[in-house]
Amino acid sequence: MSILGKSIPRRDARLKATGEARYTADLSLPFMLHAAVLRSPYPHARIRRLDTSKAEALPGVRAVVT
Amino acid sequence: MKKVVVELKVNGTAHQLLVEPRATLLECLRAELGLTGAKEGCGLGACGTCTVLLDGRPVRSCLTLAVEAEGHDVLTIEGLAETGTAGQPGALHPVQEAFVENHAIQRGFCTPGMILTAKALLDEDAQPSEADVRHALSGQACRCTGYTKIVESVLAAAGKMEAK
Repeated sequence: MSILGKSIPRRDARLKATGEARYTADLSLPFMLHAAVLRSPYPHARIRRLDTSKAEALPGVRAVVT
Repeated sequence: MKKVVVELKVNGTAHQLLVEPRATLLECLRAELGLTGAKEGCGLGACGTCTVLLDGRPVRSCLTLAVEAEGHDVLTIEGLAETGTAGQPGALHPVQEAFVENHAIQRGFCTPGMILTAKALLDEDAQPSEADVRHALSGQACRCTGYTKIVESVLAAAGKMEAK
């Protein structure tokens, strides 16, 4: 009840003001993988077939998830 | 692509970095130096979250090549507060303080760019009008606050800096 009516800074305000706050894209972990999304270049299209073999064969690719 | 050496000062410290010529200053700051305060909000120079000060002037680091910063002084949000001593955090810059005190921060993604741009304004114009502040911040997008508290904070910071 003692904080009612008082102006209190956010708990994370200082971290955000100094750039110390870490957002998702700021995180870097050992052996971290990076994902990229491939979206259909065609609107309202029907996906008839997916051939991921060339993508999987690229060096460094650990997985192609569809 | 063959890497090149870039010498630049970041937050007062001289660095020699080995980077690809196509690397942006933003990529350099975040990946090579671990300074993640500058963000990639759009990659197009439209949102302002990548803003850093180059020789005191706000620039879009996502549109600046690292090699362009060669020989220049870069200030990021991490370089603004004073360095702490003996486990105590350093004093905040008046603009940072004003943002915290005046509730100008919600998600905070726009905050580093806003603070640096405001600092550059106040370093040049110690007593800006509200219109001047809005004009100076017009390249910095904020999705949360509606800008009111941000503008109030910059004006409050001007008062703090004048008082010093």
